Amino acid sequence: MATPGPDRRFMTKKDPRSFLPLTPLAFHALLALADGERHGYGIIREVDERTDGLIKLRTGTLYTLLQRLFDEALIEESDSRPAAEDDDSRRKYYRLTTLGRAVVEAEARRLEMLLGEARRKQVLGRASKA
Amino acid sequence: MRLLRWLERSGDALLRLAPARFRDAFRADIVGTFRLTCLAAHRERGWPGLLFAGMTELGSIGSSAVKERFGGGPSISAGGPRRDGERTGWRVRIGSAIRNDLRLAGRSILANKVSVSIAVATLALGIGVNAAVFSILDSTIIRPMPFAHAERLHELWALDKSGFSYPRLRRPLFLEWRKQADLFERFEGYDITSFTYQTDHGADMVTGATTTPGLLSMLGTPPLTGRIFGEGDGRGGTDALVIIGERFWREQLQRDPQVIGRTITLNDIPHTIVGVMPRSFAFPNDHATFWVPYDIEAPPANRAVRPIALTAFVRRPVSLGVDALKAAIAARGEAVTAAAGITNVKSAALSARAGVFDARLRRSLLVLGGAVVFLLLIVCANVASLSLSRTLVRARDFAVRASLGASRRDLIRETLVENGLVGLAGALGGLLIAAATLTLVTNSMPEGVLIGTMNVIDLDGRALLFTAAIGVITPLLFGLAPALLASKPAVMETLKSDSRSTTGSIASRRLRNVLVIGEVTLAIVLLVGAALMARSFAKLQAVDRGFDAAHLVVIRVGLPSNGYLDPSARDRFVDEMISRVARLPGVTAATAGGIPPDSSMISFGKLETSAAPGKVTRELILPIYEVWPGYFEATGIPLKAGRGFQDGDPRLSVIVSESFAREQFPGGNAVNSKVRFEDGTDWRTIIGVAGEVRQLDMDDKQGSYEFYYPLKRSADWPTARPGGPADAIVEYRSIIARANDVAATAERLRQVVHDVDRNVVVWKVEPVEKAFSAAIMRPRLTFLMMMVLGGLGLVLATAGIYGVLSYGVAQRRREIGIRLALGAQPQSVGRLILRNGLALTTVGLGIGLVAALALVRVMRTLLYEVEPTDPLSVGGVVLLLFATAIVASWRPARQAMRVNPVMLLRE
Repeated sequence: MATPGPDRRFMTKKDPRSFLPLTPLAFHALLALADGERHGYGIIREVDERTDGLIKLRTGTLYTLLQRLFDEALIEESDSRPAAEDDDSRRKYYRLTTLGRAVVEAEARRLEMLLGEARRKQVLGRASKA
Repeated sequence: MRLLRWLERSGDALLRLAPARFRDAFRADIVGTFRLTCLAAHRERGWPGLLFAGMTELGSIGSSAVKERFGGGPSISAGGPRRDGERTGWRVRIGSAIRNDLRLAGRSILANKVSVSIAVATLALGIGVNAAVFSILDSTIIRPMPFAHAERLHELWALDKSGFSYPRLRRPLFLEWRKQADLFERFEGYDITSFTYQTDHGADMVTGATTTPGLLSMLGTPPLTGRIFGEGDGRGGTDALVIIGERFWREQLQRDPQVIGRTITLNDIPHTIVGVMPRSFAFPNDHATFWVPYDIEAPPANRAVRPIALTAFVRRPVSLGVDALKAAIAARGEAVTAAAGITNVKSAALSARAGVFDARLRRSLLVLGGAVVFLLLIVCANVASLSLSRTLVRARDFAVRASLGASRRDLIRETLVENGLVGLAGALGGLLIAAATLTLVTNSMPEGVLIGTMNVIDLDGRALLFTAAIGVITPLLFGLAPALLASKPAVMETLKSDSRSTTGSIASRRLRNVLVIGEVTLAIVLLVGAALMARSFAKLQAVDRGFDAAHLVVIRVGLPSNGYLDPSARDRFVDEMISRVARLPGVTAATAGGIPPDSSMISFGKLETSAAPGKVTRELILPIYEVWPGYFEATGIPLKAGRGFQDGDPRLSVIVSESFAREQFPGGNAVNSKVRFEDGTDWRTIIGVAGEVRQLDMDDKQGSYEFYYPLKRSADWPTARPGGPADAIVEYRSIIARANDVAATAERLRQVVHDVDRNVVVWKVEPVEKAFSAAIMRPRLTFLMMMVLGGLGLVLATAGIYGVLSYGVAQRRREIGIRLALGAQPQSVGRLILRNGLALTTVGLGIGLVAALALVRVMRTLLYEVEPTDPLSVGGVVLLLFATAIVASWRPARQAMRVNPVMLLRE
């Protein structure tokens, strides 16, 4: 498996919280991989659909971001391929590493906490209405 | 989906900007994703969507690749220090240094908008004109023919006894040379051929070439569609094939996709189209639009017309050098010619390159090339002086920065980056100017100028590369000196001295002086060249032609082989035409025959006269006109002795020009003497002497020796003229009318021809005066371009001298103020400045004159009755430049006189 960048999974375990807060782009990309492996274009589509076109990842941005995520060992290349009919041998599939999953979870919790604070302060109106 | 493929390739290319590590990991994946994104955009929004998405994505890939290399780009964490600590190495430093330089340069440019815009405009002009002239030179002189193994392609020409060479070889000679397989890897041939092309509105004349079937495969240009000729084409049954040019396909057949197999009628014969050649295929010249096959080994027997001779186009083997081949041809030439049974030819010789320009045109293009280089140098000097004043103003700024730790290298680099940006903008603007100039020039060029090249003249990759190169080199030329000067490490001095008080450092003053001298030097060379061309052209136009051409109009018609194979039918046609034309209203006389400057043919050789039998003249060039009875009376070419042609004059009678009669018959007894060519052709009897007609050709310094032969057949003519027709047209004849209103008569002549015979093709109707001005089209073109270049040079040099001097005055304001305060008269201060400017001009003039006189000698062959040292031209230019220098120094001198010492000292 040709993972770009130094393979850090065997290094000292990192504290997921040291990555927080994530940049919105990084969070969305990791979130796109939370429910399974995807290829590059899949990530772009997922983010696009989920945010209703609000966040459009451009090809160049996506891959420089992926490079960073690799470097930090948050994602890795996936060996398992989807059904053959949709498969293109050139295509690479990416999935979260354990650390990556921990980071995305930590970020989600942080956001949840923030959101809870915002609700309590009734920034979003009454919680029951939401 | 060509757009998509192009986008993909561009994306792939952009990825090269990224470091290898990134590229290796993601390249294929990125291209795949890019593709899917583009496809989705195409699905949703069609072509515009694809284009938009493609360009956006390309931008993203490009900028990400650069960021990946130099640092930057998205980060994962929003808080804390950047995590990519290992990436702040040298690449990031350089990246930020470049950004920093660009920012500083941009700031400096914005602060000097006027000066920079002038610099950019000046540069654009210089680079544009240069790139345009380069494109022309490149496609005509520099670039080899655009064919496979072009360096080994040659034409083999026939060589006659007096050493003249002719391009076309008659069939037996062609075949005999073709047998010399050890000398030629390929031996093919072609003949420039005109066809009548039948359209809905009548017959058109079009040009093309008859080629041996293997010629196109030797040249190696693949067809746009269809096929090229091959073995078996051009024989009986396979000769009515044609390959058409892209232009004809586009303009006449509306790019018909089913063009292959379509039939067009050429020379009344339906021809089947088998292929289309691309626009770039300009063989044997840019006008060729048709190629028909002709197998010279097994020629089609039943074809009414076929070439009687072909120009041999050969490829020599790799093993045989040019000199070796030439030697072998010279050694074998006579034997081969004898074996072919040809007597009027002695041997053969290689012509270095097919379709090449004649020497004079080549020379004038090179002179133009030289002139634009001078123009560019003047531009550089101007831009350098602008850049100098910009930089020196910032000397204090530099000094402060240097004291804060900027190294000299940093400062120089900054200045160069700034100039580089100016150069880049200039190159871009120059490209636009070049494209415009080129369109203008190619549209106004006479056909004869363009016909010599087998390359298409346009702004191609080489021209772009050339423009880019001058865009890079010029900033270095004009930016380096100011940069070195401004960054001098005399930090403390600059800081100590008040910038307003400096008279400018000695070095910067010297540099300014050099610039003025340089501009004057360059301008004078350019202007002397332009002045010589102007004088020469004026003389050329004022030449007395020897007869009044203003009221003559000529119509040249092609008589088709169908109906005019019998020569007496052609004579009957001419008689009929003359009588009808003479009856047209406003026509005072009509005749037929060749009329200067278009001779029927040109003979070369040595002559023998009955005045001195056995003695031959030197080698002469004789334009020969075949003319009708009554020709001299109608055209107004004066007869100086003897008489003109009449009905029934014998075939071997001739009328010679006055200069010939004077030279060969000093006793004045030319009439009734005889003359013949050295090689023993029949004696011709001189029946008259005609006044000289000036050809306006610059080679006619020898005097012109026109010979007039009778055109109308009399009883002693052989039954058929020797040689056969090459085309569907058996013979061209010209009918001449003398009319009060040339334009109105020209309109009617066409109708007269069709009244006599609808099948006769009108080749051209032209006032004779116009043919004369067309004959001097090339000198006119060179003249015009030199005038434009000279004018631009003068304006730029004036602006440059003015700029430098007035900047010098601005720098010396304080010094001048002190002088005035100490009692100097304003007039004497003005004189000081004026004298300074004129002294520099004089030095420049001195150097420039020497250079000019050395350089314009190459123009000698381009000049008409003007010596390169022509005192009038040189003196005029010197005066002009002096006047210019006075004008350019005048305002700065006035500025100096108006300096108010009190105000200045109070500041």
